[in-house]
Amino acid sequence: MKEKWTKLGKSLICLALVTSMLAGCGGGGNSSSSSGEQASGGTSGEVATGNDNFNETGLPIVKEPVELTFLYVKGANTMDFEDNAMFQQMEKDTNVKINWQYAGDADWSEQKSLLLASGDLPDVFFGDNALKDNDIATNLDMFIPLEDYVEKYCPNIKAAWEAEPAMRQMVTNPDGHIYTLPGKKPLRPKGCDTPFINKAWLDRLNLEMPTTVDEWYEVLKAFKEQDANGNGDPNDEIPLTGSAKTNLFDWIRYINPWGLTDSLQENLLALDQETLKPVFIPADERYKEAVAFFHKLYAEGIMDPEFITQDGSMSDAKMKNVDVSLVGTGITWEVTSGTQPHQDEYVPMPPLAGPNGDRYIRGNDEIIIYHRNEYTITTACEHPEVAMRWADYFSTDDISVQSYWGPYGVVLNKDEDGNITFLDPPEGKTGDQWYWEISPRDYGPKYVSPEFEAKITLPEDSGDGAKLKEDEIMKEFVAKPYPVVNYTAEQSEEISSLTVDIYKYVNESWANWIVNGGIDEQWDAYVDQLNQMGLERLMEIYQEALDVYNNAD
Amino acid sequence: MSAQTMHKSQKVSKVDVVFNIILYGICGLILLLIAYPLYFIIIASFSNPSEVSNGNVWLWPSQFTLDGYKELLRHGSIWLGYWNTILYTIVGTSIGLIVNISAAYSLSRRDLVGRKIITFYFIFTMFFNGGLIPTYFTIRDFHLYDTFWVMVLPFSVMVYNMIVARTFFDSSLPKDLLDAAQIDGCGNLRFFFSIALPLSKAVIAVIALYIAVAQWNSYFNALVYVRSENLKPLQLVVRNILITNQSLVGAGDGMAAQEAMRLANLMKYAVIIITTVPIMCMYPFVQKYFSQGVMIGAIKG
Amino acid sequence: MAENPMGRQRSGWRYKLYRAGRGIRRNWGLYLLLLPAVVLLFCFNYLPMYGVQIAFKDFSPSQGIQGSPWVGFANFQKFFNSFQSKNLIWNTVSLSLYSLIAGFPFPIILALMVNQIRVKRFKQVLQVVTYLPHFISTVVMVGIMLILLSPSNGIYGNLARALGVQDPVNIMGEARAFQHVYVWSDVWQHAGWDSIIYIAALAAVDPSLYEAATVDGASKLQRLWHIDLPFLIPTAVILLIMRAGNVMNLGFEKVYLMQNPLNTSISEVISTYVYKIGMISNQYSLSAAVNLFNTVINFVLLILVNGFSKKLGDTSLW
Repeated sequence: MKEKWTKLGKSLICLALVTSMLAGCGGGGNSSSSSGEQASGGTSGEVATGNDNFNETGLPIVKEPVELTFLYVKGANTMDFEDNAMFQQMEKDTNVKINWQYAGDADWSEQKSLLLASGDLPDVFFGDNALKDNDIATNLDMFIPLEDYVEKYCPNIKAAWEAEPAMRQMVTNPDGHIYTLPGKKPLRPKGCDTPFINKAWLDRLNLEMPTTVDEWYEVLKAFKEQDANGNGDPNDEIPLTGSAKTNLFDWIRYINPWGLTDSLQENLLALDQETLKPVFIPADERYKEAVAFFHKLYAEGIMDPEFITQDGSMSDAKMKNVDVSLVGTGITWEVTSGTQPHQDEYVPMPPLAGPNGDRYIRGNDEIIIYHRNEYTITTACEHPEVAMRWADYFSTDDISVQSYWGPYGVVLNKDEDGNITFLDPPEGKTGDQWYWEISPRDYGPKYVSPEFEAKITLPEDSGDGAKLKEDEIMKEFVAKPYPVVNYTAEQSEEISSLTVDIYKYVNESWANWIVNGGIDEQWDAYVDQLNQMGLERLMEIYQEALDVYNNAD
Repeated sequence: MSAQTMHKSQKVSKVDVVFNIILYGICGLILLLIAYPLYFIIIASFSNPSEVSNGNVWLWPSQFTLDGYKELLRHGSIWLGYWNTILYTIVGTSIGLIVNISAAYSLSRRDLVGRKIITFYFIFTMFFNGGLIPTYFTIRDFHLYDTFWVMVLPFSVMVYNMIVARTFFDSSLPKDLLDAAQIDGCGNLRFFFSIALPLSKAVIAVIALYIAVAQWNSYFNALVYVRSENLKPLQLVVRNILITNQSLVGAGDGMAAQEAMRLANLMKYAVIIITTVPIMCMYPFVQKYFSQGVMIGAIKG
Repeated sequence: MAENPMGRQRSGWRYKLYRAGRGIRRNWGLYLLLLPAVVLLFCFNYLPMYGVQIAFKDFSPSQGIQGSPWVGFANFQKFFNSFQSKNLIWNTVSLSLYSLIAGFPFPIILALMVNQIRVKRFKQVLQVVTYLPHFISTVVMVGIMLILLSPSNGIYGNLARALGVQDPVNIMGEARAFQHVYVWSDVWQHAGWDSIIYIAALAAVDPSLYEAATVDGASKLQRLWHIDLPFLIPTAVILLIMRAGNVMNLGFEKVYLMQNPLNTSISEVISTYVYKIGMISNQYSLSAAVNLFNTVINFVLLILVNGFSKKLGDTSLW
C-alpha cells in the first residue's frame, strides 16, 4: 500500500517537473524584444500605389480578396458582425474580408495598454470607444496619417467634409495631420437636456407651470409640503432627486438658468456666451449663487437628502417606484422613457429663467451628433489604401443608415423612391434595444447627407423619434459649448495631473456647501486654493487649445 | 469524540452550562446577522429591481420576476464559460496543490539547508513583480498566450497558501514521527507521501479550497492572457455582460444609458446566485476533514 | 558518521560549506519537492522583473520599456508634490491598520466557537453561512450596504424611525463613519472565510489533551483558553505578519465604490487616487512609481514585524 503511494507520488512529481521545465525552457529567454519595434512608421507624405490588386475607384476594392483585422470594443448585447447581413453584403461587394477582433468593453482599458505596449496592433481600430484622444496623442507614431488617402481615394468622405468643415476640423491634430476619421450620426437632436415636471402633481395642487427658478422653488416647496401624489401620505414626495455620488456632474445640469452650461465633456467647462472664453464653472460667481440656491433646497428637504450618497440605481428606482410617483421634477434625455412607469404624469418643462433671465439647456453637436476617433489605421496595416477605400464605402448614405439602425430588409425598408421606413422589432423588444443589438450603432465612421436624411421616417414611438420632437422646443435654448478640442500630448498630461487635485477639491467643497451651507463666507479662500492648485495654468491650456481649434481653418 | 467523553464523565458543571448558553446565543446571533443579507440577495434576485432599490424588498420578493435570470441565461456564452471554469478549477487546483503543498512541506523542515534563502526567494515575489506589461511579454515568449495552460500553470505558485501550509506542517506534524521514520530508513519523499500527506488532510483540504475558489473567481488572467471566446471563464463572461451595461451608463446617449442600467440592475443579484452556487457546494466536502481527532486516529491506525 | 575532512576546524566556512553540501545531498528529495515552485516563480515572476524600471522612466507604449526615456525620480516627486500625498498616505495607513486590527481577532474567535459546538447540524449550517458572504462581489456588497443603510427607506432608516429617531443620520454621507462602515462590513463579509484555516488547525488538536483536562475538572472555557488558543497562535502570528506586510495595499474597488464627495477627505486612498489619475490619461509610470513606493514600505514593514515576532516568540516567516 505504502509502496504504491510512493510510486504514484514520484511519478506525479516527475510529471509536474517535466511540465514546468518544458514551460520554462521552451520559449527561450528573449522576454524583452518586440516592444519598441513598431515605432518606426509615420509614412506621412506619400501614398503607396502601384498595387496591381487594388482598384482606385469602383467596386470591388480589390481584385483578389484581402483580409484586414479590425478591433471593435463590443458590448455583450451586440450581435457579432459576422452575422450581420450588411457586413456580409459588403464583403461580397468589396472583396475585403474583415477579421473582427472583439474586446469586451468592461475591461478594455487594461487590454488596450497591453495591446499598445506589445505592438500586436490590429490594422484598424473601429469605433470611438476603442481609443481615447489621449491614446492617440501619446502614440502618434503608431498611426498612419490619413489626409492624403482621403484626398486621393475617398470621394464620399471628402464631400462630407466639404459640406461640414467641422468634421475635418475636429479630427485635425495640432501637428496638422489627420489620424482618425469622424462620424456624423443621422437625425440627432441639438439639445441634451429636457427638463420635465409632474403635471399631475401641478394639477392636483392647482399650481401653474413654473417659468423661473424662484417659481420652481415655490412649486417644489408645495410638492414637498403637501400630498402631491395623492396617496394620503404628505411625506413621501421627493421633489428633486439624483445621484451625485461620484462627482457633481449629475447635478450640474440644473445650473443652466444661472448662465453656465457644461460642455458635456466632464471637464467642468462652459463657454462665456458673450466673450466666448472658457469658464471654469466651479470658480465662477454664478456658480456660487447656484450652490447657495440648492443649499436652500437641500436644507428644506426639497432636494433628496440622499442626492450625494445614493448610487444611480437608487435614484432611478425612486423615479420608477411602482405604486405611486414619488418624484416631482428633473432633467432627462427624453421624458417618456425617462419617467416610466409614470410617463402619463410628466410633461416637458420649458427651460427655467435664472436670476438674470438666462434660459439655457446643454448641447454639444460634437458630442451628440459628431464623434471623432471612429476609424484609426495603425502602422501594422499593410494596405492602408484598401482600408481607406473600405471606410469611404462605409461612409456612403446607404451603408451609414444601415450601420446606424440595422440592415435593409431586417430593420429598415427602402422603397423605390428611396424612402426609408422601419420594420417592427421582434416580440418583446423595443426598437431602441433592437438597434443596439443588431448594428454598430454609434460606432464607426458614418455620414448621411441632408437630402437622404429627409427621406427617413422615424417611428413615432421610438426613443429617437420622441427625442427629436422634444428637441423642436428645446433646441433654441442650446448654449454654445466649449468645443471638443484637440490637446497635444503635453497638454493632456498636464491637464490630467492638475485636474485630479482640483476636481477632488471642487467636489468636496460642493458637497459640503450643499449639505452644510457657508459658501458665501468660504468662497474667497476656496478660489485662492484653486489658484494655488494651478487653476490659472489649467485655464491657459484650455484657452490655448481653443485658439488652435478656432484657427484650424 | 470528546462529546462522548463528556457523557462518560457525567460531570457537566454549572460553568459549562452558562458557557453553552452564551456560546449558542452568540452563534445564533451571528447566524442571523449573516444569513439575513444572504437571504436578501436571494429574494432580490427574484424581485423587480426598482422595488429592491426602494427598500420595498425585505422579507419576501416584491413583484416576483425571473427576468434577471432569463436575461443572463439568454447569453449562450455562459454555458461555455461554466464548462471552462470547471476545467480550470479542477486542473488548476491539482497543479496548485502539487506545487504548493510539496514546497510547503520542504520549507517546514528545519534541517533544510538554505531554508531562509529559499523562503525569502518565495516571499520576495509577494511584494515585487515586474508589472503587467513585462509579464505579458514573458507569457507570450513562452507561447502560453491564449492557451488553456496560461490559466492553470504560470500563476499556480501561491506563496500565501504555501506559507499557511508550511506553518501547519511545522506546528502539527509531530517531530518524533520524522525521527522514527528516518531511523527506519524512510527517505524524505516516502515520508512526505506516505506519512506527512495522509496526516495533513485538513490543511490540504483548506489549501485546495483556497486555490479552487481563487481559480473559480479569477478573471484577470483570462482578461489579459486569453483572447479566444472559447477559452473564457465564467467570471469574465458574466463580467462582460454586467459591466458592459453599467459602463454604457456613462455614454452620452440617454436612451442607451437607461436601458443599460435597467438590465444591469435586473441581473446583478442573479449573477451572484448563478456564479456561486457551484463553488458553494464544495464546502461540505472540505468540511468533513475538519473533524477533530482525524489526525491522531490516522497515526494510531 | 562520515569523517570531517577539515580536521579540527569545525567553525571555518569550508566546514560550513561541507556540512551544507552534505545536508543538500541527504535531503535531495526536499529540493525535488521545491523545484516546481522555484522554477515557476523564476519564469513568471523573476524574469519579468526588469519591468520595475518603468517607475523611473517616462513610459509610453509606442516606445516600449527599453526605448522610453529615463526620468530618475521624477515620478516619485510628482506623487509627493501633489496636494494630497500626505493625506493619502495617512488615509491609507489608518484604514488599513484599522482593518487589520479589527479584522484579525474575529476569525479566531469564530473558529474557537465553532469548534465548541456539539450539535452537528448547527455547526455545519453556521460554518456554511458564515463562509458564504465571501462570494458576494464587491459591487453588489456595496450596493446592498447603500440600500440597507439608506436613511429614507433602508432597513436602517426604518429601524431608526421605529425607535423614535425622527431624522436618522445619513451614514454614508458622514466622513467620520466611512472607516467604520468599511471595516465592519469587511469583518462581516470575510470573518467566516478567514476562520476556515483556524478551524482546520483545531482539527489537529490531540483529543487526549481534552480528556486529561476534563478529568482534571477544567471547564469548557478553561479548555478553550489553555488548549485551543495556544494551538492557534503560530498560524495566527504568521497570518498577522503577512497582513502587516500588506498595509499599503488597500484594495481599490470597495473604497472607490463607497466614495462620495462628502467623504473623500477620508476615503481617498492611494489606490483610488492612482486610479483617478489613470482614468484621465494612462500614466503608467506614475502608477508604477506609486506601486513601487507601496511595495518598498510594505516590504520594510514585513521585515520589521517579522524580526519583532522572532524576538518575542519563536514564530517567524524565515
